[in-house]
Amino acid sequence: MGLHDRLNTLRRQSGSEPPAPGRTSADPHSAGAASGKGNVLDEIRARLDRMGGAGTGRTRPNRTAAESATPPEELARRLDGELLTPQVIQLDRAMPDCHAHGRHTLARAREPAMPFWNTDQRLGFIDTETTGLAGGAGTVAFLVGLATLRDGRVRLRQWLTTAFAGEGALLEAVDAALSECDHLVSYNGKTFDLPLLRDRRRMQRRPDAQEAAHTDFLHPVRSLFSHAWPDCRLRTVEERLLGLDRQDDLPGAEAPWAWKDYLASGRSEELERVVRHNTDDILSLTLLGPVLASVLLQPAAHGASVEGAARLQERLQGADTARRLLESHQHQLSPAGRLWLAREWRREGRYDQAVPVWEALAEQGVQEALEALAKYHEHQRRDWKRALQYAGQLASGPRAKARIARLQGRIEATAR
Amino acid sequence: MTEPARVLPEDSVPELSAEPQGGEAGARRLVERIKERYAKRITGELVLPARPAQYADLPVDLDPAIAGALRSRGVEQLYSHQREAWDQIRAGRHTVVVTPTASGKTLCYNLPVLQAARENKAKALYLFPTKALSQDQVAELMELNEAGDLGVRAYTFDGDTPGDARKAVRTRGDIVVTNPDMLHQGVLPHHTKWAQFFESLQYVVIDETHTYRGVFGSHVANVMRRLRRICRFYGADPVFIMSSATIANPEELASGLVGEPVTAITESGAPAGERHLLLWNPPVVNADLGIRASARSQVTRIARMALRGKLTTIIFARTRLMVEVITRYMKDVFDNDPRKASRVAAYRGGYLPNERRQTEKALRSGNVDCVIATSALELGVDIGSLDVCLLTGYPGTIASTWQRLGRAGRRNRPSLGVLVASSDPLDQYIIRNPEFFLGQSPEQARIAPDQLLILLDHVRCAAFELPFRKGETFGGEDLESLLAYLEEQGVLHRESDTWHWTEDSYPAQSVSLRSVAEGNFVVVDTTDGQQQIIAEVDFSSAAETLYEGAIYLVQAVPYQVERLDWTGRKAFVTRTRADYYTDAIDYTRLKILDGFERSPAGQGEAARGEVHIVRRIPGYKKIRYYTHENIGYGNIHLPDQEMHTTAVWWQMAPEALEQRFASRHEALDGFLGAAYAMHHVAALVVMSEPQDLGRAVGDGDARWFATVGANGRGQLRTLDGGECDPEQEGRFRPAVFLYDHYPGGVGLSAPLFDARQRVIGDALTLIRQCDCAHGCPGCIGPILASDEVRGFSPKQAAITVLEGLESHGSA
Repeated sequence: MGLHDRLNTLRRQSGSEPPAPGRTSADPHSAGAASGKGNVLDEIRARLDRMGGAGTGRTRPNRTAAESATPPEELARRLDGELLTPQVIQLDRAMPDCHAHGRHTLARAREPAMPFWNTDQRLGFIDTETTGLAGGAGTVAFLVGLATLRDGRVRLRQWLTTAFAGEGALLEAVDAALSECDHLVSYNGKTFDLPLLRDRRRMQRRPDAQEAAHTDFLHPVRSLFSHAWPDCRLRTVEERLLGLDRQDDLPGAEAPWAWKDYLASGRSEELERVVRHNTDDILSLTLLGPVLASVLLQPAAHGASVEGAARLQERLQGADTARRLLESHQHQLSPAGRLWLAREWRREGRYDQAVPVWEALAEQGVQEALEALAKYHEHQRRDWKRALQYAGQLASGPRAKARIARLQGRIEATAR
Repeated sequence: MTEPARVLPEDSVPELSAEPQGGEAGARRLVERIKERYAKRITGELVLPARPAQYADLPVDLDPAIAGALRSRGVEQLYSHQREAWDQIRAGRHTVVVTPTASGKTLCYNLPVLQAARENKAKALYLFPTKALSQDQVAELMELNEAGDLGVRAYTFDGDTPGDARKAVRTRGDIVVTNPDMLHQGVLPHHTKWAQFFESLQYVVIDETHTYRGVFGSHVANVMRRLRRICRFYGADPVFIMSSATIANPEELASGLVGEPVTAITESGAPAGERHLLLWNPPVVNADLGIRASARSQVTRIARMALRGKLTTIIFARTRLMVEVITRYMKDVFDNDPRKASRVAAYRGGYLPNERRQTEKALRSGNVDCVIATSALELGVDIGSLDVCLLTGYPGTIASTWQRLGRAGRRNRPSLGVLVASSDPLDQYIIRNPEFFLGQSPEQARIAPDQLLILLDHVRCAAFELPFRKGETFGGEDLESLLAYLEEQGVLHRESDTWHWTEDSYPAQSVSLRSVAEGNFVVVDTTDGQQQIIAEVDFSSAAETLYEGAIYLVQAVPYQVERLDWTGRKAFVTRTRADYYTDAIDYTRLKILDGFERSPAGQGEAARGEVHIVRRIPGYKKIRYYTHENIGYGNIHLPDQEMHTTAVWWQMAPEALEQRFASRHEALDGFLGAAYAMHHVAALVVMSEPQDLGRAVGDGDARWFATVGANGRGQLRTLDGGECDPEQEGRFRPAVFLYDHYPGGVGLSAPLFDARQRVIGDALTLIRQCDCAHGCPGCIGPILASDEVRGFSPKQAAITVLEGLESHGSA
């Protein structure tokens, strides 16, 4: 049994789980030698061995720096970037309008994206790659990508740090670029990327950044499509809305490993794929605004939930816009959507439109419709018998009972 | 369970007809009655006279609003220890307050904390060992806060805090109340979110400090190292305020936890009523076998007297099972009318939180007259003060005995505590030598924060929280070597002078501060097709309480375990009417891996080293209520539990063994008896609790191990349970093993090895002093009547083993 396994055994016995097997490795010789504490290390290893049982050895494959190790300068050259500091590579590209991204070109990025933002806002499309997905103080953002729109052109900047020591410089560059933006756009950035960057600033003792307005497309996508799609990951959004199929993509979950492998071995192929992955994520973000804006205008035509679209509109532009959207999709609405529309009509006193909706739903026994009709006949029409017919079908409860009693009282009073 | 499986006649002395009545001197009258009727059973008595209060003025610099809040609650002056704590803490010294239950220790830390919160928006972190205590505390703080309109915000932060409330706690709480586990897993790894809190953190309060000992304490000391490291990052250097029950070394424990010198305040200024303490030994019911009436029967007898005398009573039992058995007996007497409200309640770990809250409330309001509890009520959960405290058996340590006795005791009237001995050797030793208990200071609380596995776990957690820099220190081991080791493991990445965390995981999640936390089991009642959770059982005791066929008791109601889902951590039970309870049988096998040191011991040798232990629970016994006869067995199929740890063992040279014993069978009986006595003596010698040590008799190669069989004699077994014959074994070198009951060991084996001669000597004294003829539970463990018949004395065999191991001319 190797040392690693034996430690795991000990940890299991002591009531805790063994650590998940990592995929990185380090050169054990350089570790001991560099510290100049080889003897003490041997002793500690021996003592841990003793606790775990007989035998010695370690389980991790020793992998020395590969001959193909890519130094940062070389990596910067391969990525078509430049070294901002010895540990930070900056990529800065003006993307041509004709650049194809799925079935769109980047020219689409400057099209209107109301209700998400006005085209005169200084937009920043942001995405990070990190050393872990769990969060917490030990999770570092090693790559930050930010796209801006200048004169309608997409400018994509990315900062990649090739060592932990580069984090301060990376954040400095990112914050300088962020200060030019007054509206950020992300996918799940509200809960993940931006809090993480705030944590990293604190770890680096940097001041907090100004809070910009923020559109996180995860939430609109969920409202519109969660009923119809298997999941709402960005990959799914790209496939279904942008017509983008990333053949050679590195799964996002592999990114932490790719960076650590670069740190440990100097091999950069996987890390270069992470940069391309981040590029694609951000280019998708630049297109999502105009694309989702058109989905909002014609939700049913895009397979989106009309009610979801109306909820978004209500939040972004107010109840009137939401009502108009519902009206234009009257015949595609779910019962909940129809009730909502009927509520809006009642609020405006348009009972002629609301009542048929309620009546159709009341036939199916929908409680809210029954109650609305009972109220309508009681208060608007003062037709207490009709009102009582509807009230009598309500599920029994204190409110229904009170209504029925009141209506019966009124009927009796009229009869007298 | 230590009761011999044999029919015992219940106590034959008739009960008193005229019972003392409660009130002013009810407890004193009960003492007189007991001494009058049961004089022979009382082996020791102690009377602590009533103590008047020592007052001191409110500090002149105390915020007038806080002083006003105190006055509005009737506090015009402080007790002397509260004032002393104020002075020390305000001078910036780490302080530990060591005073009895109900002496107003919470004010010791609340006053400086409230003052600092109002003076300069300083923040405080309160740590309690359990959630229940945290909730009590916040309630008390809030009362004071409202009384003075102080505007200080205190929030609990634990696993129950809803996600949307957490941000408010982090940013707006002046006082955050949590537990060490939450600090370890929920706060420190996310310290950046707590930046504002840490920047202004001025006080860290650790209540019930004495509970942070052993493995748990060693972990918590490391969590404190991490906390202080994070505080330094944010430029804070908080003062630690601690409170502790009476232990021998509060100052040492406190500074071990904090890592800096701590001032101890040990003189309480709080008043106390007169307190009586009686040591009670149950009468011998079988002189030949040395069998005494059970502690349980005596305790229920005294409790009945107390309750009939209108004295509120708490009974402590050592196991959850015993709590249920005694509760049943008390309910049979006092709760037999279903139309009346229940007067008797049980309280133990494993009950659901709201059930426990209800019992606490019923106790405070006087709606329950008698509570039967495990150590779960030893801590400062607020249940008001009671008149009588009965201990069913010695709790294992002096500190814990006083802590439990402190549950009875009022400021203005006498109270009574009775320690009723069980037939365990430790109990018998203490009850026969009352001066040992009455004269001795309580135990030391030990921690071993540099235990390598524990330290390594926290170095990992600390590296996640903040990269380590060359030259930093963390604990007593060479940090750089530990970091290099973790670098080898691929967990850390070194970059010039800094080590960074690189795993895509969260180390604190895989490190549990309490060894029992590997997923609690829930007990699901499936009676009548329902699925209702009725209790929780921690991992370490699940194997011996929730096996299929077990009778599991909740408030003395029996449930039978129908199915145990070991991986899903669930036990499915149904209501039953069984007139028996069940008790698990436990086999332990052990193998020596490495010897560190050895030394001659009489005609043999003692050694210390690494061992591998496998524990198996193969079956259980069914025991009938009241008669305690054994009415059947059942099999248990559960995974073995394995552990590597350190141990001390004694073995005798084969020639000496052959010369001293007629047969190997007799030698084996001798080793089993000696091991029993040595285990209990060793716990006293190294001042630990008996359960911190494990014992085994076996062959060092784990070819066989020895147990006491159904015939009362030693048997050799292989691990698969097969019996083997000692006479047929080629090589026969039995050994007594006493091992540290924690993976890797927490430092008990070294002091035990140093005291190896005393362990043998004291075990001999214990056995020789015992009144029994051939052995009894008070010296070498229970023996059977057949031993007398066959003319063999297991007691003599044990003495022979110990004499063979005794070193002459020393000790």
